[in-house]
Amino acid sequence: MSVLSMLPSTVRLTLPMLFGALGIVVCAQSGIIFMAMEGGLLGAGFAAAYVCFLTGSAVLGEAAAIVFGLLYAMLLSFFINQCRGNHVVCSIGFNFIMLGATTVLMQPAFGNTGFSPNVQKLPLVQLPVLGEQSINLFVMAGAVFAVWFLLYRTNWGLRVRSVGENPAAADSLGIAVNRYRFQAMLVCGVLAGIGGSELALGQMGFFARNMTANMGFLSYSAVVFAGYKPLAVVLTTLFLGFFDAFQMNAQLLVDIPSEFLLTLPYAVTVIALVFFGSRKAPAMFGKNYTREEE
Amino acid sequence: MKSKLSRMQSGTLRELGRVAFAMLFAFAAGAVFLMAIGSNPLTIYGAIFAKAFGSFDSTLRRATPLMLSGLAIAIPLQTGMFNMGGEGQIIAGALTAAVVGASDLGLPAGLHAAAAIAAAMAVGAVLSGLPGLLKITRGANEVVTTLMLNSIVSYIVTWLVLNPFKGTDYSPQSKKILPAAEIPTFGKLDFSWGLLIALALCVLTHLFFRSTAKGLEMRAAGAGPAAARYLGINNKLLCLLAMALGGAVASMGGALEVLGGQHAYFDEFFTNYGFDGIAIAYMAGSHPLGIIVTALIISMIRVGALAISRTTGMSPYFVTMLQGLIIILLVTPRFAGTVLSLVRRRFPARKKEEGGAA
Repeated sequence: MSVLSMLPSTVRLTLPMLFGALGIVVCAQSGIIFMAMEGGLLGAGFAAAYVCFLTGSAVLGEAAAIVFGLLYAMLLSFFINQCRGNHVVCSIGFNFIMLGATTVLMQPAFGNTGFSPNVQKLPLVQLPVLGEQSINLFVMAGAVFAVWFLLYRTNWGLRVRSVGENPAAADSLGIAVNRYRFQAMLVCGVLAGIGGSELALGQMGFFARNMTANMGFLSYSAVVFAGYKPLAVVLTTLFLGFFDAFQMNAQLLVDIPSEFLLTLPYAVTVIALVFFGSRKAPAMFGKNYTREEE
Repeated sequence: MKSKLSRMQSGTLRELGRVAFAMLFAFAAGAVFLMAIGSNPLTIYGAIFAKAFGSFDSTLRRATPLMLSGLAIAIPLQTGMFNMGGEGQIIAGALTAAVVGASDLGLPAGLHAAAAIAAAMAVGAVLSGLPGLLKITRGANEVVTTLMLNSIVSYIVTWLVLNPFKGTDYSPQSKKILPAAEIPTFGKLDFSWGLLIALALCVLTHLFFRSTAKGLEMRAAGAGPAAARYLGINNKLLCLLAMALGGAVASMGGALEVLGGQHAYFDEFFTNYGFDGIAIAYMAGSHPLGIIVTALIISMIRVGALAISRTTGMSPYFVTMLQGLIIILLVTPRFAGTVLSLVRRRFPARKKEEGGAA
């Protein structure tokens, strides 16, 4: 088993996680703790599989997932920015809602409570070294660049970051804090949509109950581990994806109980945090902004 | 108008009203969802409440570990630490209690149970103390490390219960505990004396933060770390202590259920008990006495969920959805006000005094 031979599965395992992580980065820069990626990916996966099941078109499925992601982000933004709910708790509530709703809806939508029927997968491309990958790999390359460019090379990004660092100063300069946070969450919603669709239509070709299985939380860890930076997040998600691929391969080769191998990506994250843990989060991370006079 | 509302004194009555509103709104939204997929909401809600109140002793039994799971979040939160590791701490405590309870220590009844609880609490304190230690020494984000530990612990516990601590060949469970380690139940009722331990711990936690110097120091460390440091308070040590206490309490919850209910550890029995604790603590505004009430609420809908799949054919996950909605509504006290003000902005003619500039 060589590292090279694990590259295709590493990239496949990384892709949905990376879309999620990129979205979390944009939110984090604006001061929003987006812990709701678990539910976002799950709901988007369901929307993608269902629309693809109805229409037979994987592209329409991905479009539906993006629309879902936008609505999901809008609703969460309403509760966080408008109603000033706690970011982490609202996020966990949304995760619960999506786990519940997608599972309940499986019976009426697919006539089965565990798995959807197989649906049309997204177009695949054959690449040297990386093997067979879904076309979302190219979308990903564009998304990484776009997020970096948006955050660090545009006025919008400067404002988003200022809203995350010092909302009172940003507000005094006439920057509408909650509007920029809302917009950052919309970007995150689109990315969650693509990530969920990649999971269901790019990799599996079906939807399964709770198919994300902590992927949203793993992508959140990857973001913290990357110090909330969009380019570093590519490396940290690849790193987690690699250990996931490694434990799958190792199960066939070595005589270690699979339960121990399964802990690998998580254990590696903890160890990595011990060495890179003190990276700085945006100053107003997770704090809702209220003007003094209100 | 809006600001006056938010400045109102938050009395107990108002808190209860808030909880009632959140539940009503969540149930109404759930009813719309049920009708949309062609189910009758009355049948389903009927089944939930018939079960939750009909077997109220089961509700009390389930509330026991849930109260402690809530405290496991609330205690570290006072110092500004987030313990998201309840899920792992509960199962680790439950398995520890089952293993200690099943081994022949020659202890009399009561003492054996106490030893099992103590062992579980020690394991829990280590499991949450480690992320605490990594946070104060290395700056490792405790939200992430505790979440990661959940997965690590759950895989290891599964392995342990399938291998060294295997009780039967037929299902993933540990050996049955000895009678001396059992916590007695109240007659034929479902809940054990563990409930009283959990209640007492909620009250004690309340008094600890209310009236002891250490408790006040912990709250100071959470409210203003810089100011606390200036007063000579050792923030880091207090954060570590609060984390360790949180894990110990969570593990105790798992232990009480094993010793007073199941009498063995069953793998995957405790799924979501830890995450429910997050909801319970935040719903109560991490007030230890409020946690008693919110743990009962979550316990009711969880117990009710067990009935709906059997009697109505609806997936028990419907309740997971309701729970998510209730959590969100309870942590957004401004929800009603925000919706009202949005409606008012849209229809300015209805309320003239706001001025219909738009």
